[in-house]
Amino acid sequence: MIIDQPRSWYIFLFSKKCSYCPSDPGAYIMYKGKRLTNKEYLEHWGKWVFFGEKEELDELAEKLDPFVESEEIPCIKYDRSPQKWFNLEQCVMCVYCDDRQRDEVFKILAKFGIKGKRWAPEMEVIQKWMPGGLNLERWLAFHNVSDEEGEKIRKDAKKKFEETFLNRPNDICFGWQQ
Amino acid sequence: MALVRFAGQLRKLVNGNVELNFTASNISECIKNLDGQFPGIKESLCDNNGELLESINVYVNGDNVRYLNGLTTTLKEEDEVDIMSAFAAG
Repeated sequence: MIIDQPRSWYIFLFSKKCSYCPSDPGAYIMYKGKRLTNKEYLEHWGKWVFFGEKEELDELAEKLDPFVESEEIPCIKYDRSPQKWFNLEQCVMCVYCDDRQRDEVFKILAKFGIKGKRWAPEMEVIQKWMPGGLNLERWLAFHNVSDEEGEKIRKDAKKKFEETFLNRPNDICFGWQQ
Repeated sequence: MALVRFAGQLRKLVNGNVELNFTASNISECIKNLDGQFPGIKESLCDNNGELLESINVYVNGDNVRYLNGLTTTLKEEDEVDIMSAFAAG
């Protein structure tokens, strides 16, 4: 199911089953039908990353949607427009899954002509959005965030990571929203 | 020969080529060979100490070389090398 809400930067693909349970934002974070814990999420969750023009990715999303519905692909998100604060000139599509199923997921992507294998572990992504991380610091600089507000954002990011993942490693994972 | 791809705007560094073939024993040599064909490319990928820039990710068969052996990650003939902006992986 393609979830295209204009107020969101991203366009998402979730199965209908997952998208109909808003109280459980991590319902798609599974491996072989079993939900991942926070610890397992940091160890195994990640995404295939590739680029395209928005129209190309819209077309691809339509083709991949049945695989999301059948839960062969847990989740997909892609940009509505290029993220200029990162100097990206094309939209990015992220195809999420557990690393233990990433090869099967890539085989599906390859059927649709996707070339270029670039696997980003979720732990790497989180580190980039921590204080001093590549993406967080670039984002703050681009948006001219004040020193005071920037410090608050950094502290909040660190606190959220610790509260979510470090303090509750064995809890069911509800995901990470940067 | 290893297959090398540049993703997104980094393709500009190789004159828009989608795929290139290079003989190289490791990533460092691959970048050196690329720089021979596209002068200046090394400066766009590496810092003054020759280390990969934080803003650049290099993958071998899907895995970021930072989790392998960095620039000394060995390459075999059939390997696929992908290079992209590290921001996109965030």
